[in-house]
Amino acid sequence: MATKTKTLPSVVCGTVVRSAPAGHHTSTTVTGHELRVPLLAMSDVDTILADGPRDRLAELPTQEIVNFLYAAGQNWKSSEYVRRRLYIRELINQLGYSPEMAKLEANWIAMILSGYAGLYDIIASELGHRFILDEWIPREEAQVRAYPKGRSLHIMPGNVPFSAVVSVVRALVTKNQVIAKSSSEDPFTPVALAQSFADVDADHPVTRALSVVYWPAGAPGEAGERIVAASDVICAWGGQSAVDWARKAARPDAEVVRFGPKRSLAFVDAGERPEDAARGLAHDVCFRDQRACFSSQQAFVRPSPAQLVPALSEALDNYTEILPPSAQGFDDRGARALTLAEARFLGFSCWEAKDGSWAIIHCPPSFAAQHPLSRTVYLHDWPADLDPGAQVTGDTQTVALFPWAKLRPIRDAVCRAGVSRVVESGMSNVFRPGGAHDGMFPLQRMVRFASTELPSAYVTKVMTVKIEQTKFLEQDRFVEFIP
Amino acid sequence: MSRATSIPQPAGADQPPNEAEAQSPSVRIIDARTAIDELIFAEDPWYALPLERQRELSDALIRQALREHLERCPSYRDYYARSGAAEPGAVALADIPLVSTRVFKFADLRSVEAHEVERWYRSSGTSGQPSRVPRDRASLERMVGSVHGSVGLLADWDEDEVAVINLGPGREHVEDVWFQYVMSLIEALYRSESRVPRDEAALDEIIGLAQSLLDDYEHLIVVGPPFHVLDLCEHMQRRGVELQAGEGATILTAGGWKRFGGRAIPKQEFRAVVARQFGLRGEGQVRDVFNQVELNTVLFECEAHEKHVPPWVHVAARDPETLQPVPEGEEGMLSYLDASCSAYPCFIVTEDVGVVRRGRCACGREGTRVDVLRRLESRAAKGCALKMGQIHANG
Repeated sequence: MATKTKTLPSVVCGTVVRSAPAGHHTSTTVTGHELRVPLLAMSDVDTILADGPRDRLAELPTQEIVNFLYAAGQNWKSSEYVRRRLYIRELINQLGYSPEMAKLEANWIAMILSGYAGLYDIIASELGHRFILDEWIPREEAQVRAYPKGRSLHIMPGNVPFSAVVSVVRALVTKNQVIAKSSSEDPFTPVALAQSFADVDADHPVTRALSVVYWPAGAPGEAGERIVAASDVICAWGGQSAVDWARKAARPDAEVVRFGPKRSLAFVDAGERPEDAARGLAHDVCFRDQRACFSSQQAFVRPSPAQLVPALSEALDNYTEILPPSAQGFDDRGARALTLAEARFLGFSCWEAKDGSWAIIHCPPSFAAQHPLSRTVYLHDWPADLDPGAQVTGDTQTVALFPWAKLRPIRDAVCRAGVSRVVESGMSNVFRPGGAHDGMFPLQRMVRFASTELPSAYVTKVMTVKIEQTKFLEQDRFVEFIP
Repeated sequence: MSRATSIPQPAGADQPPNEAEAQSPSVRIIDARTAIDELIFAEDPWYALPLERQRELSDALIRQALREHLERCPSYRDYYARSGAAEPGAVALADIPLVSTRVFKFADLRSVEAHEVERWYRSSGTSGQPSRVPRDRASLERMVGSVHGSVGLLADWDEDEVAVINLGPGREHVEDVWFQYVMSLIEALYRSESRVPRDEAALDEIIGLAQSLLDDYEHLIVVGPPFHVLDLCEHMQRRGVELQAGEGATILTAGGWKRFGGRAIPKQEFRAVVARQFGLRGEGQVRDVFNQVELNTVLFECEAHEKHVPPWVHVAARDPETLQPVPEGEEGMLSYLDASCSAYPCFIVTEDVGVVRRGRCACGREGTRVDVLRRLESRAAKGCALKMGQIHANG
């Protein structure tokens, strides 16, 4: 295959910028092409940090933002939309996605942007009221309102496009300016998203609020440092190094919102319906090739892993057909081969797809090998005396259960031990409105709450008289009002 | 031929001496009865052997080591049997079952009795859980012998005319970190000073020491990890110091950039910076050596900057999926079959990516060379999924 060079633009306050006064960062994609991304330049920073883009968005009613996102989402929903078609092509040609996986990513972008009802539900459930970003909302003896933190920097994850879109949308619906620092692994998604906003309305405050920039991981340079210093919120996605860097680089008063690194696992009772058990587990293993933090990497299985293997092999084969894996680079394949070599040395049973698309390893949970991801699932015995809570830690994000009704009671044990999400097996990738993400409600981290509180004329629930503090002090009657 | 070799002992080596040691605490004589010891401790260097002879030796020595480990290491014997490999006399070297180096992070693998282990050495553990690898007396003797036997790839120095600055802890401070132990081995060969360049004052002292040793000795060797050498060069630049070592110094790096990977610069650029700052006659005086805790042999770079592999080690670059050797000159995951190790089956596949070449090197010597290019880096490391290794490292 001939090597091609692809040069991406940056996006500065909604405007596509093809010049690169600070030069380009060059990398090689998993498909062997050369990829050039402009480095953040000082002139870009001046534009991004001007007050306009931030303030115009903050003044916009929430419904206008949601409606704008819906309009962009409707474009993404159409298979004829040129931006969608180009995006799918780049995921396939540059990032090695199978056509099915690339199409699914585009569909999820459409789903997130178009899901206006879901966005309102998320605002309401995480912030307390659907209109709290626009109005003063009565709340006990106060009225509260949420204001955007201001400027949000997003250290984007590699290879999980969906997360990049979620991060941007969360910031926009809370009226925060967005500076998306692309990952060298996937610089396409944020740029495509920004361009799709401009397709709806190039001068809309939402379009103008979004910038997509790049600097090499951990090396922001002077221009990047100015962005970091001016950021009120930093959303750090990805590996440990990205998260650690964000924490160190952030301003002391800035909010650092960490997403990942996390792992997820499943508890599966396959005694009665092994095919259904296998289908759910296969979905959670195959979706995004385990690169997402919600992807199941391990499963505790009863009556025995060996009994599940035939059905699971079949289900994984089925996913190879309906959702073929993305191309695996040299290093990913090497990591899998090393893991299998370790497992075989230690005497664990291993099963592999004929085409190498998946692997199953029956091993104890103490197997400390690095998990190679890439549709590799560790199956563990689940004896009667095993404590599910002891199998998880604060690093565990999602626990998937099968069958749901029978196993739901173990949620107390695993959540007490640190888990933030319990779902039915096969549903790991569906984040329901109202649910927690990495132990928090992220929208709360994107806003600043303010309150106006009732004046003295209003009595409280525990007092039947007007609050006259001076008088109470003069008469030393304070204690009378203590319930 | 045999020759006397002393094993440098790390501080805290608290195993009771055996009877032979009690009689002669610092020097032991290797009885080179075996072919491998004859080769390692030979007066004539192994790298002078013709390629074909190196191949014959390699085949015979590794096959012999395989037989011994199958006899003495039950876990490897079981693994070998499960793998379906042919019996040791018939198996191709490429098909000898390989142990992933990551196994050493959580399993104790040995081919000797517990009391025969001189020490368990560990990796520096800069990337998570450290590996733990046993060494018995014979393995350590051979390791030291291999350094003696290969140092000639650097130059043919008279031992009395050479002084060394080791940019690391001295032998007396080395505990069980293998890298530090290996670096300190040079102290067994030449008059040495050890300094850790931990601050400006230490760097100033090292510069002064280098100047003084250059004046007093025919040749100065500065040995250390590349980030320490670069620290030293940058400090010299800040101080406006440019040494005029000419042909009188060799700068020897080892150990890679480790957690300072962000500072890594291309090899050629690195050599140019170092040569300029030390005032060397040429970049050929900046060399690198390679070793890792799971490997019992140190690989030295020749003047053409190629790492030569002695015949008791078989190196191959392997396909990342099948782990079968790739054609010569192609990039692959590096594996080693090291016959010099008796403490554990040193038949390993590593997380390093590199290229293997055979034939005549630009330096004129025949043999096998390896170019270690980089470590494996999974794309997954940049996603939000936590890998198991990280879990254990965190916990």
